[in-house]
Amino acid sequence: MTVLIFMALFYAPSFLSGAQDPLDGWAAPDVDLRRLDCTPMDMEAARREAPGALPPPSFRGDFIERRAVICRGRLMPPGSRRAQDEAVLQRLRDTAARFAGAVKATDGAEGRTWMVQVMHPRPAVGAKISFALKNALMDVGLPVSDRAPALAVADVQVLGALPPEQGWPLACARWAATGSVRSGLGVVAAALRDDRETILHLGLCLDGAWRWLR
Amino acid sequence: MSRRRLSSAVWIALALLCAGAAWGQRAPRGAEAARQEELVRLRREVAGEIQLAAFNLLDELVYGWTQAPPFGANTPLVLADVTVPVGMGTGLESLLENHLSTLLLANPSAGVTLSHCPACAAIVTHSGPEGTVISRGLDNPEALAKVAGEADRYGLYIDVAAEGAWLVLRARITRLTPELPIVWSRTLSAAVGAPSLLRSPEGLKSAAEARAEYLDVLNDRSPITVPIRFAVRTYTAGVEANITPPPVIWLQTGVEFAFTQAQAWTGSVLVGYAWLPQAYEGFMIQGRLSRLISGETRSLTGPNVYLFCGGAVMTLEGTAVAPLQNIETDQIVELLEGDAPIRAAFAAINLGLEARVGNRVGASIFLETMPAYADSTRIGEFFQNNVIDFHSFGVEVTFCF
Repeated sequence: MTVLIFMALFYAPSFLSGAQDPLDGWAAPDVDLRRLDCTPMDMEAARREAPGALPPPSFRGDFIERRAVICRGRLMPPGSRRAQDEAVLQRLRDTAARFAGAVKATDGAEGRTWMVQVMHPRPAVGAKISFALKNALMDVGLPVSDRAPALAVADVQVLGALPPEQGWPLACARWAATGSVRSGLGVVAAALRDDRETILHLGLCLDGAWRWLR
Repeated sequence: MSRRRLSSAVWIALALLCAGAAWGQRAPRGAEAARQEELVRLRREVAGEIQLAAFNLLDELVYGWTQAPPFGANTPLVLADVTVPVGMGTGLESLLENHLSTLLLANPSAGVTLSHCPACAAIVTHSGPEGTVISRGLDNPEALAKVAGEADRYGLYIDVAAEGAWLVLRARITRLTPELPIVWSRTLSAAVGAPSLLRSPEGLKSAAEARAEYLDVLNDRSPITVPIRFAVRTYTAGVEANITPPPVIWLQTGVEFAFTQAQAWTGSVLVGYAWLPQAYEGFMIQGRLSRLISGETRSLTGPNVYLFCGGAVMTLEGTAVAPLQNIETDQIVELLEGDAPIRAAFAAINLGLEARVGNRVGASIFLETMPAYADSTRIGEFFQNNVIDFHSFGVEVTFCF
């Protein structure tokens, strides 16, 4: 019995404080979560993000590790875009920033001008990814070109018949062989390896050699 | 007979099956149409919000250029591409293009001007040793140079994307040379529900300045104001009177309140005091109801005109108010020679127009009828007519706090 009382005392605060958590709280508000974009974060960050929405920190300290979940209504209503596109687009800023950081951290990234190549089944989404990635690369201080690496029609026909794992390395080799991607240039590629997935993969083509970074 | 019945039953069953199948084929089409209709309705709902937020981001972009121009000298830009969130229509693209043009025309200090380049958007074909390339002029600077001549051109690309709860505007400027280097880029974002700053294209402000101005406007729209009013009421002599009553100068104050945020209807209750040495001293209370007639809502920038009507009760005491007594001339002379205080108390109903600027200063004119003098021969009338007797004409100047 004593153990149970201690357990109750130990877990009750977090059990009660998490009651209203819209993600997994047992008394979550009755809202359509599909319309919300929720981000869990620590209290300090949440106070910066949503000033006035949270109580100020206690002067005597808080011995419970609390977290906050900031939810904002999504701009586009559910169903107005393909679920797969929505999954890619809703975190595009973060994805582009992470990819740019990974490219910048790669050996040999400095001193090159980068071209961006995106492979996505829907061109409109692909164009958004490409734009975001170019801006993110510029933001980390890498020179970027709007030029796209070119391939001959015959190359495109052959590459189109190959799975991405074989197609990208071959395309990279062809870019180097045809002089489309010369020394001093590099290609950053963001692609879906499978048409059904929602996670973008990052690959680099440097001096005719291909490698997946993510 | 039973065979024929069976046959009929089979035919009826087949007919029902066919009808069911036809209905079944129609139902998904109906559901799909309903889904499309619902999507159109939803898109229309968010379009306004996205448009305002996107305009806000464009304002921020051009404001940034006015503070730190992307080029050293004024440079022509070709608007290469404007794209909107996936799922939105192309009409929004046109609105964004127009807004950007308006902003750049109104802000020459941005250091960029939009340039027209038909060949840039046209499809061009270029054959060279590496092959034949068919593309837009913008994407093939070698071909563009041959079609539109050699020039130092730059292309501006703008993309607006809806990413979760954020509207993100990305812009980049590319030099239209064979290597197509990106020379400038910027990413701006705004959260859903962030109020639009509604900046004017002329004289763009920073977000902080625009917010301060917005708060000033909100503070200025308080539903309750305290007016201080100087009013002069003039009277004219009646047909049998030799003495014209003197004008009465009132200092009034009280509370004015708006019934709605639009401030189309306002009301006020004021008390007043009048004093002229050796002439008169008076008190009054006045209520008034005003209706905005210069628009649906009170303008923040222009003057607003209100039509008002109201009532007042006044009491005056002093030698100068003797002509306001409803008595014969010789009785007035007796009053003036006597020691008894001379008092006049009367009610008035007024009708007038007030011009108010910025909810700070107002000027008004009004006419008053005083029922106590309806049959008086001592007090004359302004604008004589057979409907209503206007016994008093007044002007006011109001300062609001």
